[in-house]
Amino acid sequence: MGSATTPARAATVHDAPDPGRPVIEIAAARTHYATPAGPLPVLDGVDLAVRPGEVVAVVGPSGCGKTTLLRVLQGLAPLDSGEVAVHGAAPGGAAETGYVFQQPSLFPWWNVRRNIEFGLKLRARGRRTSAAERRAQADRLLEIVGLTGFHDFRPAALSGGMQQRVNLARALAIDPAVLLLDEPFSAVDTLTRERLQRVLSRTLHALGTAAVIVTHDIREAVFLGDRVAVMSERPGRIVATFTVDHPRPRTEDFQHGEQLAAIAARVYRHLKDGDERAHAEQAAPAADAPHPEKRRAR
Amino acid sequence: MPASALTRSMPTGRRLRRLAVPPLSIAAGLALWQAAISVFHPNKLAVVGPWEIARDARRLFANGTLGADIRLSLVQLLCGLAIAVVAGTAAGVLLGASRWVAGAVGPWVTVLYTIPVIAVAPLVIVALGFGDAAKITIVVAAAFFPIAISTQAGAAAVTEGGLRDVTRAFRANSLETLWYLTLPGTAPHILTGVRLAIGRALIALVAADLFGSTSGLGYLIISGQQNLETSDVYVGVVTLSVIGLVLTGLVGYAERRITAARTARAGA
Ligand SMILES: Nc1ncnc2c1ncn2[C@@H]1O[C@H](COP(=O)(O)OP(=O)(O)O)[C@@H](O)[C@H]1O
Ligand SMILES: [Mg+2]
Repeated sequence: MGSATTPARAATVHDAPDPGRPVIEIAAARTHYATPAGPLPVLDGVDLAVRPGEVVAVVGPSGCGKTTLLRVLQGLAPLDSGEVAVHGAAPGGAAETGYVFQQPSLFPWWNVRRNIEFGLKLRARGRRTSAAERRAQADRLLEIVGLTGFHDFRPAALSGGMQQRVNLARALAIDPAVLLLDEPFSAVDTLTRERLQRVLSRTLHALGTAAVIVTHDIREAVFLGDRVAVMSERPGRIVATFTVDHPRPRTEDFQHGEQLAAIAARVYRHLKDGDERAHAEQAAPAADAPHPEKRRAR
Repeated sequence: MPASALTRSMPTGRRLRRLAVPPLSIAAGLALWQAAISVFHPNKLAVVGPWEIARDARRLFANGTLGADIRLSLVQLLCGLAIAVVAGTAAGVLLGASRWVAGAVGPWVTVLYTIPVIAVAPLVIVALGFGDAAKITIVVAAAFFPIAISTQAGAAAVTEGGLRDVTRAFRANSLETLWYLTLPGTAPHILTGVRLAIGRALIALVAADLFGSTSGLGYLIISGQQNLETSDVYVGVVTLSVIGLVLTGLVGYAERRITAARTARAGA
């Protein structure tokens, strides 16, 4: 598995702790779904490598295979061919990956704290933690995601945005090497979504966790990612990668600034043209003129 | 506005009045019944009034037979229900978790569910004798199916729902998935099954006593019939109804508590 190649277009990443061995590598990945109408190819030669602490955002049209890509990385879906490795081993092995679902998917019968402790309680991987350790870890994460004081609440008593923060805390509680997020904020309103994006950026920075975040929201991708990978229509492959040269954690200024708008406009143009020959494109670090007519498209 | 919020915001006076309705209704019914007896004087072998039933109940209680009958029937009922809950939950979870099992065993469940317990009770007694084992077996046979069928529906919903992806993503093994997801997720369905099973179990218990017994509430009813002690029959029937009401009420309460805790929008 260690033979997976790093795509040559990976550019230097701002702020990455160690530009050494990738935590996640996937190369020439191909897979399909069996449907009544025959096999439906979904991934068609996907290459991606994520270094420790790096955040890669993947954008692509709906149905192109983004969720499938995350499921492969999590070890929930098999590959027809190609290589995938987490910390050099097959996914689903010893290396932990945290998964944040599109819908909050909390256990309705547990309060917030017990939901966050869930991953720590599982003995399946031989990791044993004491009740006090679990509690301390849950409280630490509640503080990080800004929910201190809500540990006793049941999920039904929380807003959608708060539930999604718990979801994030639950995935982070097991100290994963990589966090995989599947359109995590698509079900919340715009203001909440922008606040959650800042919470996520701060949290990943504070914990130094690498992440692959899948989204169809280009501005979200640019805001969160050290790099933005663009996927083609199904069967998906990564057709371009943009580097977002801005320090993390990122703030509201960046969220609504011209740099983000300019990069988002370039990503958008690329997505729209669907230019498969395009490869790594270094986004201009600053003041490109924003393209107001294109910004609408996110 | 959800119903629970309505209940909460209801003024105390109105809530008290609503709670008072069921007992008042029962009291009014008993009064009407007693009045009708005094006016029409029906055949005492067919109908007796609440006053006479109460007097007979006091007599039976004082000489110790009613207490012994209740104790024996409750033990048989609760043992049978306990076994049926364990077996029915296990069967329901298996049926709900695997389409293969559902396909292979599901038809058998449907067929066996429709067999009247009264038809097989004599066979069970022939096989197991007149003791507790036969009675408990008959109660289990009656209570098992509603629990298994209700649990199956719940387990299937949990197994195919989004939370299954969560346990998979966290790499829970099958025992952990059962313990942390399937059982808590199915708990309301299990309780619904138990609530439906209580009535069937009570009927089965009387049926079991019918085919040979020397004690128990079913025996009280049957010997009352044979000895033309009609008020004994009524005492047995009323006692069974009260047991059924109390048990069903307790299980229904647990059911509502569980559901409310999972869906309440306000507070912890
Ligand atoms: N279990 C499945 N069976 C058959 N087809 C599927 C299944 N899951 C997804 N697909 C199809 O595969 C394609 C990619 O799905 P997905 O990875 O969920 O896309 P995305 O997350 O990018 O919207 C879609 O066309 C979808 O309809
Ligand atoms: Mg998706």
